[in-house]
Amino acid sequence: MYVASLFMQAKAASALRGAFLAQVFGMMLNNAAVIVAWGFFFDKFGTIHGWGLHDFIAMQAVSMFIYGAILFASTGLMDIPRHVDTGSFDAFLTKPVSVLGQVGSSNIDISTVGDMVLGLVLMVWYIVTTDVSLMALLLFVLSICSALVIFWCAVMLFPYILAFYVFDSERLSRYFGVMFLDAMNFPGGLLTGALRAFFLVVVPSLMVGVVPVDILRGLEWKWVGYGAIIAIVWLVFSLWLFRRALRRYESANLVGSR
Amino acid sequence: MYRLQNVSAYWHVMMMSAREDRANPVRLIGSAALGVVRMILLAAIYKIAYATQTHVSLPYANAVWSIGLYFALIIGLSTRNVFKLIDREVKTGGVEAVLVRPIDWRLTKVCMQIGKNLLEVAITATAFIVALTIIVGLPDMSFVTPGFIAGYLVLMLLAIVASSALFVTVGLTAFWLNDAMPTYRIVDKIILVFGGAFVPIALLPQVVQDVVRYSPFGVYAASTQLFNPGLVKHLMPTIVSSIIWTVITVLFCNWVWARVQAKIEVNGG
Repeated sequence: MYVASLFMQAKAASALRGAFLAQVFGMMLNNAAVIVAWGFFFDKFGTIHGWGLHDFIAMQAVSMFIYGAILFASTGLMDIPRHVDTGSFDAFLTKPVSVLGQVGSSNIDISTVGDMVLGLVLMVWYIVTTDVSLMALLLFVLSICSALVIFWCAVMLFPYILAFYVFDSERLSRYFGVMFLDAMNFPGGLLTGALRAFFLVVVPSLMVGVVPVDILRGLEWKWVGYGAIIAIVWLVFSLWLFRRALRRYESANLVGSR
Repeated sequence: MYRLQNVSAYWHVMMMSAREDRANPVRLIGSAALGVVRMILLAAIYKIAYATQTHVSLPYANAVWSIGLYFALIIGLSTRNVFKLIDREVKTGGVEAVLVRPIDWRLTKVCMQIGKNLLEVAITATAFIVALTIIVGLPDMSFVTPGFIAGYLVLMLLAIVASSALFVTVGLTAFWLNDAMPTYRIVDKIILVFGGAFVPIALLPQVVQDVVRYSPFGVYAASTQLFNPGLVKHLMPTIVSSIIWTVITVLFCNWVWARVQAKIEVNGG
């Protein structure tokens, strides 16, 4: 049902072919502009702590791919505050299927295809142009899996649970997501000390953008394990919190049909 | 955008929108907190970068304050988001109904957008001043004169006018493209690259700085250069260039608006 709903959303979103292509290419140009902006930074300062433009592009590629894949699959979660505030959340509670699956697939952002495609292309480019071992590649794939889970929990689900506790919380939730994205998109590989620890554990943005690239660059395999632990903790915690928050939801008796 | 006799009406629109911000103080605090975290992150990255280089003309504190200015002014005021208000009304067909009003629809949207963010800008700017003073210290302002401040204020005003006209035009593209978002993303990111969001203008290669200064994006770039000693030398040419590009942007917006008005079909009812 989740896949069918997502497929329907994708089909509807791509019905206007011109607008669909403009969205996808617009997003690709958008991402390329961020790389150009930070390209000037690396042009000025050169390689810092072993991180150069080449590695930054790889980090951006991983971030783009993860952002695109997760948003494509569950954009609807970002509508939780609106559903809760208006009472339209009722519609998701009456069916004998996963509430999160239904909400996640209830909307789609088709421009995320641009993120996924450009991210994938740049990741392949980095792997081809860098001396990467088969083992590193395998660990990289595993770290991407952890990163996908962390991103889904920390950006798509956890912040939007706030809607069950605070009215009109949509922008507040987005601020948390943006904070996570900032650390994921800036050259976080340069960070050291307490700030690095904070963005690895508390707000684990570096686990999404930086660690997978570090693994390709030869970082120790144990970081894949740390990533898996953080992913499991976030998954268990955010699902537990969601179930708990769901009990607070009070129907607004909204009359409508879906 | 010519009906200036309705200034008080536009002022009321702006103040009405400003009330929206006051109604949600948690959101205002959240926005300021996000901005401060972002600046801490950028300050840390630049501190590490500056530690590797000794020949950077722009002092470290000035670089971080310049980025702060971009986020407080351009992102905070969010005149760019006027495109969303226009795009929404084009999609819903609401634009037909508002054209009969005696005030300019586009200017009303700009006032709504600016009003909505006035308080947020004030709070974010205050939070930035406090946070950046603690994190990186005060910037070097030894080059600043009253004339420079006056020139900078003119540039800031021109940036608000030019960016409003530009993003109104972006919003109007929805009449042809069904959705203005792709156009917005491209224009917005070009401003981000050449406006000094992540890398201050003074740190861009000299040839890029020269091109940006006299390009349409020079208006936005100039508005974030209060802490750039290099602007002193180019202040007058930058103001002249900014005036020319602002006039061109406003005229272009009016031209597109004229085409749009010819395209609008009022269905009645």
